[in-house]
Amino acid sequence: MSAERGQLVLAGLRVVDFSWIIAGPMTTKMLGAMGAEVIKIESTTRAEHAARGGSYPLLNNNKHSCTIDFTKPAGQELLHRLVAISDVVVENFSARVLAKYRLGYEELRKIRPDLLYVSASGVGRTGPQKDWLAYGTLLQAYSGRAGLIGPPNLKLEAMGILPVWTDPVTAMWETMAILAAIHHRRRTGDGAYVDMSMLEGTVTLLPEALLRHSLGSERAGPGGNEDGESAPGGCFRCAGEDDWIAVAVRSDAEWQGLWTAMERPDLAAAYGSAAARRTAKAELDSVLGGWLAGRHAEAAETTLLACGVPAARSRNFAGVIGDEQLAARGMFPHLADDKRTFALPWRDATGWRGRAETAPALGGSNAYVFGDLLGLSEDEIAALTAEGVIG
Amino acid sequence: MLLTGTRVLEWAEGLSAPFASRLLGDLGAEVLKIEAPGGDPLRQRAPFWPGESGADASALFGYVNAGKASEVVDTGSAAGRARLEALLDQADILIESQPPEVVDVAALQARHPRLTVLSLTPFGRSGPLSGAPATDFTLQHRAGFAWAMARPVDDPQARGPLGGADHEGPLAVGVTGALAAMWGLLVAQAGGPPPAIDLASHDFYAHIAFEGLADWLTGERRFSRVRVKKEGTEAAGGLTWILPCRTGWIMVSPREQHQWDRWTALLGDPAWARDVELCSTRVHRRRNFFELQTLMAEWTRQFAPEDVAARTQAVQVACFPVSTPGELLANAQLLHRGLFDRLVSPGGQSVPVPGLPFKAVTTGHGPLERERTRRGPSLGGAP
Repeated sequence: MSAERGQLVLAGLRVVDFSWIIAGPMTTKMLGAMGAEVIKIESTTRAEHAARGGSYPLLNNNKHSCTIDFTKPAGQELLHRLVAISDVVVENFSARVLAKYRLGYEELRKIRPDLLYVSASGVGRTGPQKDWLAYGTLLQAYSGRAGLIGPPNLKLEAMGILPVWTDPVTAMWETMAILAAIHHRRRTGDGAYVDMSMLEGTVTLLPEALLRHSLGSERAGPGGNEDGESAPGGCFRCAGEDDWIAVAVRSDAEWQGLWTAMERPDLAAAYGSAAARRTAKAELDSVLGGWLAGRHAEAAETTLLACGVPAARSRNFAGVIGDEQLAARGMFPHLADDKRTFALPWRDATGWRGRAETAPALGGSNAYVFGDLLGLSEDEIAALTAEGVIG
Repeated sequence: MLLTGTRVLEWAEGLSAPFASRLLGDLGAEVLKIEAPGGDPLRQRAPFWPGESGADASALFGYVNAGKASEVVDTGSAAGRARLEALLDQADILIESQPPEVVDVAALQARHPRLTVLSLTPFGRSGPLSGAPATDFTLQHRAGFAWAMARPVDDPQARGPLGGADHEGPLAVGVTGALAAMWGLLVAQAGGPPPAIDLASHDFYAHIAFEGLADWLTGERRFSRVRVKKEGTEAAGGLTWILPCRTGWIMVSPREQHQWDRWTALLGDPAWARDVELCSTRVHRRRNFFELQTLMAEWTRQFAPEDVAARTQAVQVACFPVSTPGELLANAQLLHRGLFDRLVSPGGQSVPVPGLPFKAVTTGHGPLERERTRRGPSLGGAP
């Protein structure tokens, strides 16, 4: 077995992908990176499928695209035939669409009993709010995370409503659940139904705020630029335009590194323990802030890292794509068209971090899906195209 | 249970790697956490169970490590190293977060050829900064996440970039660790050479910065944080509003024309809603974001957030309250779905904590259990 074949552990597994926007496409991109054959079901009649701008090329690597109008019964028949020869269905429809177009789990498991069927929806497929319409930005507020980052305000400033968070986090949960279900299926032959709630995937990562509420604590815990453990620590203004640095001093060793970097041995003895530094955090933050105000973040970062202090210039994406560490680890590979994308979030010791193929053209695999996989003749494909079932 | 029969050995501290192995345990794996004498430093981290003290008093530690067994192993001693080797012989996967000078993964896998290894570290096991000092907070700033969290703002000089909420960053890295571990277990299950997985927290934060990559690919280089009144730099794209209620807040997103029409009908079809220049199209609504906010708030201020959300969702427009922690613990949807486990302290106190964020049912082996009773491991003891 070659190394690459061993790593493409989902080779031979076929995924029917109804998902769109972010969380589902990120999930199936990862499945494709691990070798699965992902067939994205799209439609020329839906503007969001035809546009393909923005993040689309980054979220839809490693996929086929075929176009089927599933509002037509003949389109549903084609999909049922495709599901019969597939292993996984990934979807994020509204509950009404599922039932109306015969694409729900109960329908499809009759066709493929060992199917892994994965739903990701705003608040889950059960419960009093299951039909509520949701977007990732709103769930970031509903989950409580926004209020833990910054107080609600009319300008939505500094509340973490942007950037996306709930969507990519959902993708990590969803892909983990799919891989676990595949592991189980390969051992037992079982199919499975997974009902993922984006709201729950976000709330689950906020334990301290929930614990503090239940235990009667007056504080909410960490959030924004208070990490709950550093003193001094936070995000400090530096000398350049919109120039900031994050610093976190937790241990005695990091504290020694900091006063060494600042050439302030006079501070050492007075704040010799983490507890003493925590008590004097405001004062120490002020001293550190004063030292940093006259320096450029890039130079301060170099000095602090050399002294063993966790520190990072706050970078925008231009700084991220130029980051030497990320470059060395192959985080943003080049595609065949010389554009960039992002790779799997992990690598292995050989440097492998997944397939990265260009996103598909709309309906680019129609001939493969309808001809090779479903065995339709050219005449049949032409007739279905003329009826608008394919397209 | 999905991972019945899988044995996980955890040699890790803090939040990310221990959360990864805890999640494998939630899916049915058997997890043994080895701890240095004195235990994982997270045992010293607040919040604590009221009135309880000692190594088992941290409720946060209990949440992150629920369901595991713990054994104290002094890996600095010969006896401890021998014990570690014996435990590695019995494990399918090692999840570790040790400094590179402590663990030689290649040598370890040479001695234990059926062992998958997940190393979860700040900068990863390769690259010029491998081993450099970092915390999740500094990495969020380094990888562009914090920059985007406070963009756009009116005055960037006064309002700096921002880290995430609670422990969501390191715990999301833990979810990704569980995902990467599952990949490794699948490789081994298929008979391939068990991999040495190298997950960097830094890589995770860069991975989720793809909106920045999309902008960069269209030629954006400045990534200014200054609010400019044009499409895409308004608050949340200009079609999602935050509105004050009688107490608290809601967010609403009537982005499509048909949604906007139903939303303004719900507001009683006020005269301003027929002002063509004010709000007849998405372009107008973006341009007049703040004026519309003031007008819409006249209606929402009359009601409680949950009432506004229910009425708005009833006309099929997306709307949710901005929740507080206390509201989440009483949330009807979360309670109906059985999200919350009960975490029990050594002294017998208990609180609700979130369980897995999905329901799963298999065709032959039933559903994953919800609403479980969970305990953190006492130092050197059973869960």
